[in-house]
Amino acid sequence: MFKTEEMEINLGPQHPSTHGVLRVKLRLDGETVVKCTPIIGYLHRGVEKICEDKTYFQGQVWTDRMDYVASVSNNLGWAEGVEKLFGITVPRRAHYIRTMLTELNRLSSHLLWLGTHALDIGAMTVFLYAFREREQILDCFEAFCGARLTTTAFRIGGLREDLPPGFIKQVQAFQDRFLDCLDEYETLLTENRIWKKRTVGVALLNADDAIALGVTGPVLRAAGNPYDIRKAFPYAAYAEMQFDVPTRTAGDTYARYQVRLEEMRQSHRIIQQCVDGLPEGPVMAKLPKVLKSEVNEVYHAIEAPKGELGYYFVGEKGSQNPYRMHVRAPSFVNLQALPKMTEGKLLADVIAAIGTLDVVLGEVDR
Amino acid sequence: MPMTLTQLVVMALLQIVLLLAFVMMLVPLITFAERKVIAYVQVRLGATRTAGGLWGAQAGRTHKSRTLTGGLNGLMWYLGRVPMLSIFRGLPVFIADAVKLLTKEDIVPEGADKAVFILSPAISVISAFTVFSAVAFAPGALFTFPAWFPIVGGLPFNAFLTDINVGLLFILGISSVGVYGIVLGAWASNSKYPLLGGLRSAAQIISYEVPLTLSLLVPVILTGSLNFNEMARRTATEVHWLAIPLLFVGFFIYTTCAFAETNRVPFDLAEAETELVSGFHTEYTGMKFSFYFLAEYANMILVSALAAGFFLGGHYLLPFGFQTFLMKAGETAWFNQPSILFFLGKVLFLLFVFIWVRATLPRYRYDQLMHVGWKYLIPYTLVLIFVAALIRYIA
Amino acid sequence: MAITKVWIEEGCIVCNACEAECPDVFLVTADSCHIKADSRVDGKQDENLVAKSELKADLHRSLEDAIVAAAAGCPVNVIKYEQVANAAEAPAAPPVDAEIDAALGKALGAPEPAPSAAPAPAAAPAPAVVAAAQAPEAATDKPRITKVWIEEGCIVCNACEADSPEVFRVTETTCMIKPGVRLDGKETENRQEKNGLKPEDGERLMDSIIAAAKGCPVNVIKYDVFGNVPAAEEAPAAAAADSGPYVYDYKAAPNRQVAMPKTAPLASFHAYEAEQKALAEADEAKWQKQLADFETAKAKAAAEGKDAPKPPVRAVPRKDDNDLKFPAPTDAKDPDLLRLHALLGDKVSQSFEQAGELTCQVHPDCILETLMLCRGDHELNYEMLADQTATHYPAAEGFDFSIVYHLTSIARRKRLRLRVLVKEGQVVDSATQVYPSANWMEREIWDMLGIRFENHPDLTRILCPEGWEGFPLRKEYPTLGWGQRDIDFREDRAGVVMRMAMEKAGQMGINLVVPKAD
Repeated sequence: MFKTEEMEINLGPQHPSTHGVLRVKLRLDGETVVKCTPIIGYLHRGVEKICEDKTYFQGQVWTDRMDYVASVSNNLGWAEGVEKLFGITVPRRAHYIRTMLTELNRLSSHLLWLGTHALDIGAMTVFLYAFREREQILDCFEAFCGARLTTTAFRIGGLREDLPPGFIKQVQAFQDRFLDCLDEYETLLTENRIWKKRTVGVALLNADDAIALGVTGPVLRAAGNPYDIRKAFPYAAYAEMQFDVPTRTAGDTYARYQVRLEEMRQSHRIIQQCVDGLPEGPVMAKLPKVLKSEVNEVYHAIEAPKGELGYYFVGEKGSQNPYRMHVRAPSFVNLQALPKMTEGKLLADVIAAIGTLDVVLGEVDR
Repeated sequence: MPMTLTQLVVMALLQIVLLLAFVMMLVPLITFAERKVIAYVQVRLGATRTAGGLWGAQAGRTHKSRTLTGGLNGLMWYLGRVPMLSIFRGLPVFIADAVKLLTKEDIVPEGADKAVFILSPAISVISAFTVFSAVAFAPGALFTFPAWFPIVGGLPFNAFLTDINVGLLFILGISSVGVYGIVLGAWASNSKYPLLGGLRSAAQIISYEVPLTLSLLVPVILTGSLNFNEMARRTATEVHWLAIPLLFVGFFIYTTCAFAETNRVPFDLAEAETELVSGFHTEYTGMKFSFYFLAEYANMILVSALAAGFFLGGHYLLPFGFQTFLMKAGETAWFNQPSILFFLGKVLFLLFVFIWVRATLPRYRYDQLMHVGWKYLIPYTLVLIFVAALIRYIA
Repeated sequence: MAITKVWIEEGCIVCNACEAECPDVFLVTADSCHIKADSRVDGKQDENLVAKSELKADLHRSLEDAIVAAAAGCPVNVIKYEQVANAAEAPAAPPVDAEIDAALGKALGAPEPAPSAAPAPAAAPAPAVVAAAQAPEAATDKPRITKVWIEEGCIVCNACEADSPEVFRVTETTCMIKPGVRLDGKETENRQEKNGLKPEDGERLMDSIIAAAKGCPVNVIKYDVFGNVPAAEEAPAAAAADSGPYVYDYKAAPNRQVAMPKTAPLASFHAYEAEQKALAEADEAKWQKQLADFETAKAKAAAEGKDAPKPPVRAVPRKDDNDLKFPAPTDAKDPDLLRLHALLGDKVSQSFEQAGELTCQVHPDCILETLMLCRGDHELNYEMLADQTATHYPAAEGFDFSIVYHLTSIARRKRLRLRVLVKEGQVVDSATQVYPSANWMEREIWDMLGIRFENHPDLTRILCPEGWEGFPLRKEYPTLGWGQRDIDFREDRAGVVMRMAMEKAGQMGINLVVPKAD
């Protein structure tokens, strides 16, 4: 007479906590997830195709629009990838400024993650606190390049302009208060019983599974593998920087939270080193007006806030446009792990898992 | 003085109207307070500009308007200049909220069970308001009508509608009907998120009804009454000193359950915005939505009133039975007089706690909520009841 | 050809247009338009919508043109009529509809409606043959246009009249083919009857008609061609596209034509080496020639007793004063590449290093074996497939796509690129068995480039919706999208469209505000 039936429910594409237009098709048995299928592509703009029609200089603008939360990292990946393709040597000062801005961007990305992740789990106040500090970082970007979100901060071969006057002071002002702010977030969350109940042991992913699924970034490091491209394949000025790679072994949401918070402290450290040890000199390499490539093929990866962000270029002889450009988007690959993390768990854990993966749909769909 | 039937009816109507107006006005004011309190917790300002928006921005800011509304507006902006009073500029937002809700398009989703869909918010709101008839805001009369007043002249105006001797039973009985509104509304929406929200809500409210009622049994046992006035008076002034810690613990258990009963953070699973979009009222708009909204906030006022009445000393000054010690100073002392102000002060403080908690805590997961309810709260309340009975026996 | 019945559908806006065209039949009353009693068999006077009474027999032919004109001129197209004899039956309401809609849409600032599905290119050879069969009187075998007609959807833009004033005449509502060039001497859109052009005009006006057809912003001008069209008119990409698994209508949208790459830039040490060698040889040959020239010149000068010419100076490659140094590929020296070569032997086509990156190109059949080696071999130990993608090389010989796998060894801090070259339609072993992370990457490659993978758990489209036509990252896929951008509306210089829209809207009681020009 009675029978139970599994319910299929669409989480998204318009949903408060799928961070954009992610659609997750869930089969639910009560509130338990039986099957989880992420469906993507709602924000697909064909950046890779578009960049085939753009010159190496123009294409960088499109990278802002992929991971719009961490556009400076995207810019850095593009610029360094193209520099590798052409064999351009970038001045040391430019490297330092790039590193500083990229780390600031990592902070802003992690702050946004912290705010939205906590909001997903129900703690709404952290969101506003995190945005207060993020605002200050965006002000720094605005001072540097005039834009807050879609920065296009760098040029191929270095930077278009040197730092504006007063920029270092502005960054230092942020640096001086940021660590206290981090402690403030921690008082709200780290030892909060409900926060721990919602995150400890939730959305587990061990290191082997993470590597098999290509998951990188804080998610991998929270599972115990200290793979950080800044250390493994140093780029920009990271070889000269002193910093630690924070790891945890639990591989759950709480571990990822701890890893990201610790990463923010390390970023703070790196920024301080850049500010203190900023070398003098030019910020732009000597380049011809028009860049025409030879036949070449490069893959350049950087450690974006979400994980390994790779740019694959194929250069055509005598052409100003890339013959083929491909982005290895960390969010895209990391999102593959969502079914693994959520199947058999509860609906509320899916929200926590999406939040903890820190996906940006602009980057997933490109 | 015995009342005629006419006097009885007119007096009851007057009381009902005043009570409804009181609750209905308090609800939007709480929502406004919620905006402001959460805003201050979150280092932002909250609503500050409605004064200009409602009555014409220029009228208020230039102080030149001679009209009444312009003048009011100007006053609000003027008061808003004082830092502590900047809430005045945003104050009319609660009117704006109400106007917005009233003028929204009223949508009934296709495939919804229309009759049930319309009925269920009404169930919620009616049960929420009916309960107030047994709540005594003050033990006696608020004032006496002057003799020249038609029909009811010379009669005292009581701060409670009824004084039934099984008041607590009535309150619990009626307020638990409210969950039908939520479950039926969720079911009738013919949509999946509301269904999940409704099921969560049913399970949650029924689970937490048990410890909530059990924790209320502690004052019942201690006072030996079910009448609101009696219980409020006796828990404040006549409890044994051994029962003071008991009331203290009981208050915390009761408050925890009250959060769950009213679907507030950290137990707002039924309408968990980031999980279930809006939970059971996802498909509701306009006035029907605002009925749920009213019911939720009315319930908040109710549970605050119960907590204030039974644990926090009711109409007296001190909570948890400490008033017993003060009573030795003589009943005529001002601090021993029961007053509606004490009562309202406690209710408002509890409402502030509701908002405060909302700004601070994350949300429990569904299974954890059940866990807390059945594995911790119910055993604790049983122990409490046992101890209460023991104390009653000793005393 | 004769009109037997005429009636008014619902929706008359009482505009008097029909009465002006044909006062013998139509009578506009206060609230509607009536068919006059004295023109009808049943002698009543109403809209004739229900009765559909016949016209009087003597009016069948005499008023035909006037009724047709009135029907065409009706702004809301409610005048309907029935034609008998050899003519097509139901005439012509939709075109005017569409065009008014378009004009109104423009006036109201609404987006332009997408054009109806563009038909096959009119200049295809098949219709030419048919045309030849239909026109036996064509004495000349020179290429000429046999028919020209206007499809539905004309926006009355005057472009065709500017290009070919002898053929097209733009009226208030649509575009007509002029009677002077037509065999039947009528002036209509020629859509139903498809009447032929006079042969001499078809030949003389061919270029202008083709120009008009190309210039038509909504591509409604169609024509049949007899004989070969001049070569310049053939879009070279069209033929290539037709042969593919999917067909793009390049003719329909000139701005969507794709410039196919002429080279296949595949980084390769062998190719680079050969190129450098050839360059060096050419340089050497040039130098030797210069030397020989100098010797002969010197001998000649010596013979003639003149001063010896200056000895040649070998040109040194110009050194650019910049920080750009092309990372040239070098031969494989890395132990990983050597080990792969040792393990796989001939299956490795080439391996080299460039810009500090290791590349190993293997045969597509053994990619799975190679991946397993890279993952399992204790010396290689590449744990992670960081990225997998593919590139389309339409200009390459012997292959169509390259698929690259970027492997990362986290423990050894190394990256390796594996590359396979595959042909169109070739199925490659899926990497998911070795590296589960390949799942979405291979789905993306299938979605974007159309390469199938064998043993993939769920090879469906991932970014594009199911049923998407074409593979976007192929080189022949146009960068400009479908739909709206196909319509490159000409500037409405004279404001014709706008004026008409305003008029029609006024008649329909809509109060339009003229949008401000930018």
